Amino acid sequence: MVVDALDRTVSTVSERATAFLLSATVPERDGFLQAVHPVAKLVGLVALVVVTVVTDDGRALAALLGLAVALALASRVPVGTFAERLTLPTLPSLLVVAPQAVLMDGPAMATLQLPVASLTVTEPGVAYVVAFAVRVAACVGFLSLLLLTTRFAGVLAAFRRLRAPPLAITLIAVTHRYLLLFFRELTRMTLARRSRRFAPESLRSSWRTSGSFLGTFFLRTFERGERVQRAAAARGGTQMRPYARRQPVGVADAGFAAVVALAVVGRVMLA
Amino acid sequence: MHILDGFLDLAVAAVCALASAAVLAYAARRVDGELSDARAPLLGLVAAGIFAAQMLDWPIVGGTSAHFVGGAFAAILLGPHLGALCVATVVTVQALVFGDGGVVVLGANVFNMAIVEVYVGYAIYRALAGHHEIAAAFTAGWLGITAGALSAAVQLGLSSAFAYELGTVVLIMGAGHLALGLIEGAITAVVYRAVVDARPDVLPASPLREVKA
Repeated sequence: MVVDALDRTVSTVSERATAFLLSATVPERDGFLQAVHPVAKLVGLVALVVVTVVTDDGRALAALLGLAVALALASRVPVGTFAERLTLPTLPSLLVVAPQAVLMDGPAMATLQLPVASLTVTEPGVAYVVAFAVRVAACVGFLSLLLLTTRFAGVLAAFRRLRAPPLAITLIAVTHRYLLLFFRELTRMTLARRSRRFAPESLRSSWRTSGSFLGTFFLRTFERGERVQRAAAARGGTQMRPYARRQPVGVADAGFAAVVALAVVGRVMLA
Repeated sequence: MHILDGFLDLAVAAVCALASAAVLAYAARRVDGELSDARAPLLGLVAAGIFAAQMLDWPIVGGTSAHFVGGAFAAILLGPHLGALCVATVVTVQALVFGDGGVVVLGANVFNMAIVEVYVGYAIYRALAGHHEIAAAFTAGWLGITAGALSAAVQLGLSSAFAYELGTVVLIMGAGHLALGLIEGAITAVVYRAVVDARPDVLPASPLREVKA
């Protein structure tokens, strides 16, 4: 049995994606943001991301990151999950802007002696790099709160209430509904491929078989799509007719609105 | 190539969102006859397939790997307008389910990956397919992703939040993706070849294939 990069990645990705899609239990927890109406939560968290994007002051950004962490704790989001969500995109962002610590002009903080040259780390450079990383982390934190505390159906219902185009919502819903199936299809195809290969392949041969593999996967996807399309047509279409789920405005909604209003007013006053 | 919230100025993100909304609305209107309520599942399922395929690593020399983006392939398979709607769906689901890319910059990510990459890739494929189909698919994948990266570089370079100069960002991202795009082009070509060999009928008609048949 021969295992190459494509095999390994299918196994890893399918397992992770399946676990990700199936383990969405946090939205069911009895927490603060879970009690907030999805429309209010979507609008409020996007407003907080906008406030964060337009903020440059390091202390204000740190306060916004603190707010994201506080909301996560109040919503009983597992600390490890939230920390992983925050750090995975933030660390590469930090690396991307890190050279600005020496590229920006300003008072020197430290000098790094390298074999070929010496680099001067400046105060404005460090302040920019820290503020940038904190801004990205806060934005990622607010988006993660939306995703971790809301069922995907709730997010779609919120978009529908906000009058997003019905076609866009249908496409997103269908794509999400079939993701798990396609990850499992990929796993099945990988298992079949792996169990029929016994000799190592050259890079050229590996690319050719991988191309056939992915081509076959796309054809299966296309054929399944045609079947689902015919079935949908036979049933009279896929137009979603959402049932009205009444969720009265409660204390959590008022509290969250107050938090968002406070952040917006604070940002305006800071300006 | 997913841009995160915090990288772009709000004004740049807003302009990109408006441009994306306008182009996608145009695309939806152009395929109005094709994209009926009952045809939406086909597009949604192809989007799910592209989403899954994007997560696969392809072996490169020295134990390294790269992954497929598939914007040009979606354009070739579905046509530019359906391809743009399909990849826009993929990018949106990536943001709303997995948190890949931001929410305020969603319009910018859709613009780069679902509009620039798809339409540029399709235009190149159409221009070259009459000469050599596989080479056309390769070039479409290669230059399509490079164009998408250049678009992202311009957005980043114009944003004061991202402190690098416009020329520097365009040079680094353009050169990087011009090299990395060769892999995208090669994957697009081998997948295209596999689909043409197995089910040529799912792809748009080509004069070269008709002659061979």
